Amino acid sequence: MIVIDGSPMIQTPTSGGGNLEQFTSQIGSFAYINPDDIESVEVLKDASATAIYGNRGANGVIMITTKQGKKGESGISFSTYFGSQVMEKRIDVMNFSEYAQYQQAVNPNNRLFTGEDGSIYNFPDADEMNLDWQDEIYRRGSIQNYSLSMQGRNEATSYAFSASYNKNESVLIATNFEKLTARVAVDHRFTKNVTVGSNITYSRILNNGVPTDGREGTAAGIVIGALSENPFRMDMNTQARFRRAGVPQQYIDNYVSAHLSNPDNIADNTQLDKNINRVIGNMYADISLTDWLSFRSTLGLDFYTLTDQQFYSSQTPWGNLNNGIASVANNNARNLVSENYFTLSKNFDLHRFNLVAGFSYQNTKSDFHRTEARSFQNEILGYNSLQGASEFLSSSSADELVLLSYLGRLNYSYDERFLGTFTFRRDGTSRFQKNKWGNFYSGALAWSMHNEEFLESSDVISTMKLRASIGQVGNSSVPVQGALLDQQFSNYTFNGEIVNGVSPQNLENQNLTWETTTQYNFGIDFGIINDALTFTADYFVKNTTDLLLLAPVTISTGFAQGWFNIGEIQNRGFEFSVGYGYYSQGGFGWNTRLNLSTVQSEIKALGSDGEPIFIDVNFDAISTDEVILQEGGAINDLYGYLTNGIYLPGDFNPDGTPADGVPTAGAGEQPGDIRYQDLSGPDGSPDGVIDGFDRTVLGNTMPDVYGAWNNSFSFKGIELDIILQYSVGNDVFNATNTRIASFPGGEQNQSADWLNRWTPDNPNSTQYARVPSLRPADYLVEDGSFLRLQMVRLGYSLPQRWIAPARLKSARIYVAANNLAVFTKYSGYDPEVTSNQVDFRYPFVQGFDYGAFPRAKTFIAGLNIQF
Amino acid sequence: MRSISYITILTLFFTACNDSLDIPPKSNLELGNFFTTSADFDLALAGAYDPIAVHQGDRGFGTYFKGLMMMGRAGTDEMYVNQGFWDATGKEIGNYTFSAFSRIPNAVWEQQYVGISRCNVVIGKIKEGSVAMPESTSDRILGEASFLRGFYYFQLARYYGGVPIITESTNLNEFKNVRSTLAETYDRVIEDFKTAAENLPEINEPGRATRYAAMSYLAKTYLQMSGEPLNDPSAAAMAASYAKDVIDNGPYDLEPEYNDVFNLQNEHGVEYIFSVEYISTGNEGGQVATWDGPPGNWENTITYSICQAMPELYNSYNEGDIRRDHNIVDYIVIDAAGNTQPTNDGFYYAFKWRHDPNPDTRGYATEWQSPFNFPLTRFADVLLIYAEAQVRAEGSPNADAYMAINRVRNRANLENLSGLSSADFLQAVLDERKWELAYEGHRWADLVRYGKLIEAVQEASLGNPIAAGNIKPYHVLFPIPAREIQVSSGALEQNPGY
Repeated sequence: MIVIDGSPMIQTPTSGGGNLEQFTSQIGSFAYINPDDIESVEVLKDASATAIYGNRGANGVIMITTKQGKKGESGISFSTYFGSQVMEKRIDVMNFSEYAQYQQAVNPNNRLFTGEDGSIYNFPDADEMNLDWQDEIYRRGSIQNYSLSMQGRNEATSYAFSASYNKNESVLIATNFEKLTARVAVDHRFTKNVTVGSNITYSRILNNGVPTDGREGTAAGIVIGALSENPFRMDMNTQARFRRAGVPQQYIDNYVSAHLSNPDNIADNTQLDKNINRVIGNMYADISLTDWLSFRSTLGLDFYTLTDQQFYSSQTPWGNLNNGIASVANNNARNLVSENYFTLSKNFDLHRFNLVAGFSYQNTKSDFHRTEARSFQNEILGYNSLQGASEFLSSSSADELVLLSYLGRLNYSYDERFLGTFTFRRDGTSRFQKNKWGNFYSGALAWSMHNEEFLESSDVISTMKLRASIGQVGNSSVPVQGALLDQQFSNYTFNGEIVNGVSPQNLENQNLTWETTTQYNFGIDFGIINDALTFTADYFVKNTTDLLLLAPVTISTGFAQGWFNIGEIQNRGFEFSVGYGYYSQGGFGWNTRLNLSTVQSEIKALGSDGEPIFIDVNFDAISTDEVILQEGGAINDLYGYLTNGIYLPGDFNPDGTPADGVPTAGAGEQPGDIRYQDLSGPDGSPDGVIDGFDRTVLGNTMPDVYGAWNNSFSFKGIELDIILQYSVGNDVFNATNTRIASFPGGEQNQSADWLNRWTPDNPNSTQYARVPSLRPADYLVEDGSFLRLQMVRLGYSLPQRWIAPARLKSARIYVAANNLAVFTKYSGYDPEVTSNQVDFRYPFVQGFDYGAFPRAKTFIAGLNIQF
Repeated sequence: MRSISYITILTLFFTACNDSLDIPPKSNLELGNFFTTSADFDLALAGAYDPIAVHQGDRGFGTYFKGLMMMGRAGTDEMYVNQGFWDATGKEIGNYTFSAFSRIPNAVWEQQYVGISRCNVVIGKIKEGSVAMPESTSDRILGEASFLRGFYYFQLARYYGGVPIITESTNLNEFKNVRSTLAETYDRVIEDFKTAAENLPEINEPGRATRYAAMSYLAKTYLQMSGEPLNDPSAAAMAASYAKDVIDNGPYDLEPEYNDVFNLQNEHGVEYIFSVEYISTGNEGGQVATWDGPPGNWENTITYSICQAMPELYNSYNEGDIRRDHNIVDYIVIDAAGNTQPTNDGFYYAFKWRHDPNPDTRGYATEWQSPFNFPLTRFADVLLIYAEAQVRAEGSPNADAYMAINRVRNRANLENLSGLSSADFLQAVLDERKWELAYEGHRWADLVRYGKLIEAVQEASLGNPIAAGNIKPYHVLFPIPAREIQVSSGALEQNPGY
């Protein structure tokens, strides 16, 4: 959760859904903030710290404080950067002559490569005909950013204004992003006891895109489309070359008229335009009632509007299926948060007490409307002229959520050495029916040993603090239908007319209640030589009980799942951080920090009888489940089949049927095909049949160890920053390979690995020639461990004597490169994937790469000046 | 003093803003605010019909949109799934390589239960009687919902065997997820169809169930009970009596020309008793006429050729049987005028339903919005049910049985049958069903009823050698979904062999 100046930002949808739009990348919460407005960022992780935000902070809280003009000098600052982006990684798919070989071998019905009499065509100028579509869809992107801000203050008032503009032409064709923000913040102290302030931020985002992830066939997105598209473009020159090779014109014409899936054709003829406007405002009043009692009230408002317009012309596969289809969606949300707290502070000698008590009220309203129109007579105006269509489908919905919380927190410290905190919350939500309220407790203790007498005078030990905390936090995130039974629209036809139907949509659970996470934290902070060397270690254990889960029920009820409070999950791990700072007399400085985190998760209990839950990550190529949640397993265990090499001729009888004792899946296996292992059968032992009983855990997408290593070097005015990021032990499910490495024998282009496949002439190869029966299996699960050079930045602060004549207070120029290099064994574009095929009901499922939007390398140069 | 006033403010504060956390959902109908008028019942009833036809998302794998175009038709001696079809889920059905994890048997099981639960809601609410409406309306609603529930349980019984039974009076918290016996399941079907027959009107809006449709299904159900595997000795007579009632008193007749039966204009004609309704707009389209057919071109035939005709079926038609060349072709259509060209590749194609080859006159464009209805039962079916039931019940064919089968044969330009032994007569009826009702979803159940499924598939080894080699005796039942067995912690027993 992100909190800006004390007000939480609601999660807002960044897509109107529908068509292929549901598959494209989402815009993150940080997009709405101008980074130059940020004064400080603090990350709260342990339960005691997040308790103040209750359930919304269950996964940690990022607290952003924006510039208010109170700190720092008055002045004006301007910064700008600009640069370019490239996406250079390419996946090795077949080129034209390799593809021709492939078609001739497995698809003799493709008349562009094999004649009617079975003879194959030769293409002497195959190199001129070749086209790698990856080169067509990735371009050099550009990025530019301008930001101007001013702040100032006098006795009673401080203010800050800022505005920024960011434009990014993405490395992916036809994809652009533009952002405008403007901000005003004012604080005023009316009397010695009353201070009020307010700030408002407006942001506007325009995003034009193309379908990226997507499924197959008519729903193809261009990232995978570029890999599976035929490696040539049937323009006039290519047509001539096909003719010269002997291909009859009729087949060339057929290809041209039927073939719509060129990625740049899709990009040119699809419009996906999003327009987001957001206003976030905060007001507060701080009243000092007595010298020990004060009151603070804050009001946060968040208004959000999304307009999502899509048009797929009939030149695209999806549009062709629908004779041109457009969709216009609007999504509005309004969030209001009111927080009111009294604070009591009293000190007795070395004892300090601080009590905060109050309540928080949050009301979120949202509404949604979408109209789809299809069958356009004239497509020129696209989604701006829906009346030109002949079929319409409209839908709308609205939702309201109220959260009410009472909170009390007591802070105690003794002599700056012992610190204790105790928090109690009572949270209520409108989402549940009977059990709306939950009570949550947390407490923390810390012992600042460095303030103890025996250490206070130490020259060596500057910080030594022991911390322990325990906290409870509740979670109530279920959709409206979790506890309530609603109806959905399920139409039928009578007498040639559509008739509306209404049916129950879900299994209701009136007893649904809060999920509780209890977190224990133990930590130590250690610093020596005036904190030149620092060390922090934390151990945490998080137990989640009454887990809110969409669990399977027997379909005899009419539903496959229902929301229940069942299950118990434990996450535990370590976090270490070591930092060192060195400054020499000559002005050279080196600051380094290394973080290391480990997380282990275990599912302790699941469901009333402990049956495992299977999750189908939804891409078309495989229609079985890829993730399993089972007792004793971890979150995000990948589940599927093991392979052991390939079938060889000795596994078959002379008539082609499998020999005795050779297990197959009954899919017409032949020598060279990939071979799955028969692990089990209905009675628990191998049965010679490859089916659902032969599945096992293949890996896990969560890393064993991950973190970052930051280094800053400075010398006089020059600064060099290097950030490295690493992750070890995370597996990635390379779902792209289900499309390009199955060699099914159709027209789709495939990985060049096929050239090295087993054939009777290449009998020592272990590369499979074909996957006759596509299943989630170990050959699709790859090690995604990586080391990423996330940032390298070289900056120079111009010396005072140069800038003083221009009345500048400071000026800094820099060049930086982001994502400069990734070292990994993963064969896809990037091992850190958040493909959007995942099911929103299981948000912890990650690590699936199915045409995920690739990361670019960015090179920028920038300038910051202050007047 | 000041402190006290502050404390008062404090307490007032806490009690002030105790807003209600009860917010009714804004765009979802709760069961609580629904079923208040008779129009609501009709909305719910339409929702109860929906699982027969629907294609939204992946539900089509369990309905007549996709899944039941293969389950019940392919994997027999009339049809197989084109081996080049990219989607393995269909080929599994045709080739008998499916398992308890396979998609289509899972989806069909699921959709029948979705339908049953929707019917249960309607039946429960109408029986409560808390909404005022004319008796004819409440009878009709009860009748239609009972008909549908009987239909869904009938599908489960003939494809899976005995199944867990849930009705409107089942308390979900006490529900025992175990399978009833096949006889108990059929009893449930019969009771629901009887309630339907008692309450439905004779004439209803086209697409809705009617009294005679319920009686036709009673005949169909009893007939299935009288054959394998239940072999209920008293069922055949009940089947014969219901079928006779429909033949003598129902408003149905045979369409004079066989070819006209399957025209788009005729879908609510005099021969049709109950069909899956589709129209070409608004996501209520189907894939009848699209799924089968000769290899297509998108302009004229709009066919996928996924399910293809068995050459054995083609060859089994008698000389002069006009149905053969309507149902099966060995050519492709090449232009808007309907001109054809032989394929000369030895393959045969099911072309029973045909899109208008001229895109200008056709009136609909997208291929998964076919407006053709899928006929679930028509008058010819009832005639043949009567013929079979009478012989099973009485041991030898009487004049009425001969008349029934001959009416069907005469329309096909075949001569009358006479003087057959009961075994030969039964075989003749089975063959007549094969020729007349080809591709209408009856074949698999017919072969199972006669105990001839395995034999027929093994003998049809020219058309589908893979199925012939793979089929086993346990394939007379489809597998219960593996996830159902899992969720029930083993209380649900799987069918043998899976």
